[in-house]
Amino acid sequence: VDDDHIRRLAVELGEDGKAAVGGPVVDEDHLERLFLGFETVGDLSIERLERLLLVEERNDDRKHARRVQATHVGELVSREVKRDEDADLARHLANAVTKETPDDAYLTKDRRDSAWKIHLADSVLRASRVNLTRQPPPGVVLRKPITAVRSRGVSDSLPGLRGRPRSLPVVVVAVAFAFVVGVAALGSIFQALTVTERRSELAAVPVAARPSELSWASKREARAFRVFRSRISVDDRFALVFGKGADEVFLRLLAHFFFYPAVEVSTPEDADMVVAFGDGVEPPAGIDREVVVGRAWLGRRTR
Amino acid sequence: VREAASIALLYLAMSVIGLGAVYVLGIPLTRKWAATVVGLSPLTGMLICGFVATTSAVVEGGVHPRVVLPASAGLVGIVLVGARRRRLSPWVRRPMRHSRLLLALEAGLLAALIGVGLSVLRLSAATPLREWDGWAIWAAHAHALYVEGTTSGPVFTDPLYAGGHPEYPILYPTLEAMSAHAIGRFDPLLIDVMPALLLLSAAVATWAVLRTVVPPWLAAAVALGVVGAPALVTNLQGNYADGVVALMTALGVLLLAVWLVSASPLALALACLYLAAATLVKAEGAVFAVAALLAALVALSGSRRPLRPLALASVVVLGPALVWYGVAKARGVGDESFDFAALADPGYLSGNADRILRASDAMLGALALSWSLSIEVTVLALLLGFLCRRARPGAFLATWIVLSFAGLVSLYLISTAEINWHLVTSADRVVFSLGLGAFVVAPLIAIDAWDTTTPATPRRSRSATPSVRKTTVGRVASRTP
Repeated sequence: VDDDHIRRLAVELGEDGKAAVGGPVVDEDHLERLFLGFETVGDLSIERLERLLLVEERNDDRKHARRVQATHVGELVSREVKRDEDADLARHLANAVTKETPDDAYLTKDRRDSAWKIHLADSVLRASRVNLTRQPPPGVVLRKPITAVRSRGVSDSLPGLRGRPRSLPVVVVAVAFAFVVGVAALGSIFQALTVTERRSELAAVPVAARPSELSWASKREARAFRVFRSRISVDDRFALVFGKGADEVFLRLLAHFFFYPAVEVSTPEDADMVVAFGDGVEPPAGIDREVVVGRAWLGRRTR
Repeated sequence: VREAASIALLYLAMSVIGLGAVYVLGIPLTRKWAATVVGLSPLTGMLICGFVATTSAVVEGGVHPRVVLPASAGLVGIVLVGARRRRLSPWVRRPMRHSRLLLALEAGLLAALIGVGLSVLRLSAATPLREWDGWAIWAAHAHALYVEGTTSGPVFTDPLYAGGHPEYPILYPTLEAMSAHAIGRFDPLLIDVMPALLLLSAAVATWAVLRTVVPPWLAAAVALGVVGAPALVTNLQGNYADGVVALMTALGVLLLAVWLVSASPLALALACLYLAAATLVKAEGAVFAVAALLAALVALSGSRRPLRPLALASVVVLGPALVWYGVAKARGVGDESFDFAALADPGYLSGNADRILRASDAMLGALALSWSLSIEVTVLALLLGFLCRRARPGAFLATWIVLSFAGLVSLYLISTAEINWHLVTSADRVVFSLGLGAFVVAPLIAIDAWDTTTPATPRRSRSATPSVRKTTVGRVASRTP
């Protein structure tokens, strides 16, 4: 949570005109001072504003609040406040979390019993809202209407939480950033053209002739797999036997892929079918060679 | 047409489940959040169905949509009833005040996104399986899950099938098996339609999340960049899982970054969902997820934000993957591609130190070749953060990149495979998550920094003219914005 985050929240609250603020009670004088202070500049005291705006029910706080100089309050509300400028505010901003309901958003502690304070962050938010709307904070009960208010007006950006001025390097880097993202987006559109072209090329080729997993195999092995697959049924159990020159890992994976749901067993004795690849492989006992394709053959157990 | 309609119907059903899930999690069903809800629903629904199907396959319940869809809907319903009104708080959206021109630009970019996504879908439906991992591992697992519906068959338990890596998580193949059920057969030509749907859904989800924290036109441009990233499109057409891991990781890291700047529990919950999905797609997903959680920890250091949510998130993200690998170990299958004990062996590490340089060189080369725009966007965003003195979000991204990179290098260091072969066959793919994650998170960092600045000469409204009037509170003296 940071100043920008609070600013966003405040803008949203300002747009919606709703806020979940409890029922603090302040004197009209306080608000009058608030607005009078717009034209003055002084040193910052956030805690004083906090005491002014928040619940002023305890007498000692009220006495303290009345001692607050209008200049201090005014500065907080009208001038920019940066989180780094006041250690207490920075801490409270960091402690606060935002929660959003369908209708509203509010600042709160991360959990109800948290010991970390957030009231300064809350105060800044309310001060911003006061300045934005020229209204007392929602939920604030005025003892009597204020009749005299000096207003200096507000700028487009939310006062009280204005950021640091935008420097030329920042603008240049931001423009470069947007440019590169734009290039990436344009690249995607060109990619779509490539994709469409590739699809047209593929569509012109019959499915069986398209480069597939068998493009990894040699022509003879590829043909062998096509032929063998048509002869192995789903309930068959097959064993693989490898001779000279056969790539065992690759051919086993292809066999698993092509012959599934038929499953491999470890020994020919347990198998209904035997598939052999490579040179010099003879059928084991009880297996008749059924089909031969190049250096590969398929054998079936004799019944 | 029949197959397309069947898959579309399945996709629609999963999207409806996703809609319920995002509502249950806490995104309000209001006009303000409508785009976010619509954008997040399809992918969230797919992932929830994927989680349910994975669990169902492990307990031998089957992965048919007839089982998975009602179970997923029931799960969402139970959470809805159980959670009642205690839903998670969403993050605060960036105020949107845009001209019609910018809104039209966003709409145009979105239309282009959908167009690119559909063209990728059509190509996927025509592309046969030709990449090694695509057919030997993922399609083979999907076929086994389609036929048997469980992980207790020989494909996942028999040592003869060890070459197909039966220890790999099955979130991705269960989704493919569901699409096979939808069309009524296992079709090697159509099996990679599911990754294309994941790509389109993730791109839309990226737009939906990003537009709440950056200008919507920028969010749409970034999402368009995601859906048409050439390396990603090619990878997913090969039915690889690396692209899917990258999509899940990128969204998870983005939402973790949103959580860092907003402290929204909902952002953290969604980040957990996507990062957990990444860990359940492929083992590298766990590397990126751990790196993201550690990076968040680093970014939070020095703040007073409680770390308990992050600790809980770590359990949620890594728990399912740990359970999966535990189940795989119990079945007697384990990944022997990596020797994790070697990490504690100084002799091995010193003897193989050259692998660090070779792996780094290969991965940096792959990043420069396929993700150069992402590198540029990231560097510019970090520079913007530096210029605007916004350290935390940038620190998160930079730390995540460094830790992820270090994690990948560590894997190559302890690889039992021949290192040159291992690098040649995988280095270009494992960096996808880095490239895509950085590309998606960079706009958040850039706009986060940009928003801390205001024009050097602010334009003042008419009401800014100093005036002194007498009024009553409630009757505003000068018009205010």
